[in-house]
Amino acid sequence: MSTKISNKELKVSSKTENLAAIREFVRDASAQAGLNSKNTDKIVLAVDEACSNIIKHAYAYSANGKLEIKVKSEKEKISITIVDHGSQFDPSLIPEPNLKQIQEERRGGGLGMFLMKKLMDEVKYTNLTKNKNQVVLVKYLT
Amino acid sequence: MIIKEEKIDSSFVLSPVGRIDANTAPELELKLMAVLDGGETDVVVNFHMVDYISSSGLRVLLMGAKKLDKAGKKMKLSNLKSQIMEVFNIAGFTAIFEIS
Repeated sequence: MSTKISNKELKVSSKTENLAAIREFVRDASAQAGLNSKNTDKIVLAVDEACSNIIKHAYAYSANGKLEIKVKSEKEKISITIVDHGSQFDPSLIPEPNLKQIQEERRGGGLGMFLMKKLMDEVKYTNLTKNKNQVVLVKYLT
Repeated sequence: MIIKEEKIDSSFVLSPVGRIDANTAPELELKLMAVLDGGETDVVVNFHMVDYISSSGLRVLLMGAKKLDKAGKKMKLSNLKSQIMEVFNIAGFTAIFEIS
């Protein structure tokens, strides 16, 4: 396990075609931070879900937006910060993900958020300014 | 995304190739819904060539499961790699499908 603090950043446009590049970036950063493959898989999926939600909801599938993804690895945790400039997102309006409801509805709405919370130790949304939103995903390395 | 289609005895087998994410899931959705709307009730999604799935892919499978529910059938999933099975486990989706 690396004990150095490292920062890596990727900026891409808000296209679902870029999800593969985002996953590769996060996979490389996690591996370089010394995470095992199981934790790396979890972080990659959580970031994919967060970015997919931003492309779908904040940018409504417009490819003109930007996603900034920063990975910070420290001795005891890895944090991924994703910033977008799309529609304001109020996480308090999203009900707490309920798996039973998701399955019964058989539509899968809210499934991405449910997975993010299962995969990571912390998921925190913040509206930085009117059109600047941030989500921080944290995984503790115990 | 390449999705192979085969009719094997009474089963209709769909074999997607690659990664099922928000970018590729709409193609799987189109294909799967066309098969189900065509009246097939014994549908298998073969994951042999699938390396990755996100909630976008799970959502498509859930939609398929709902359609088959009406015919009293379960959708079948086969050849799931361990990292794919892990996602189904985390999502609590294993009971919805017949997994082999």
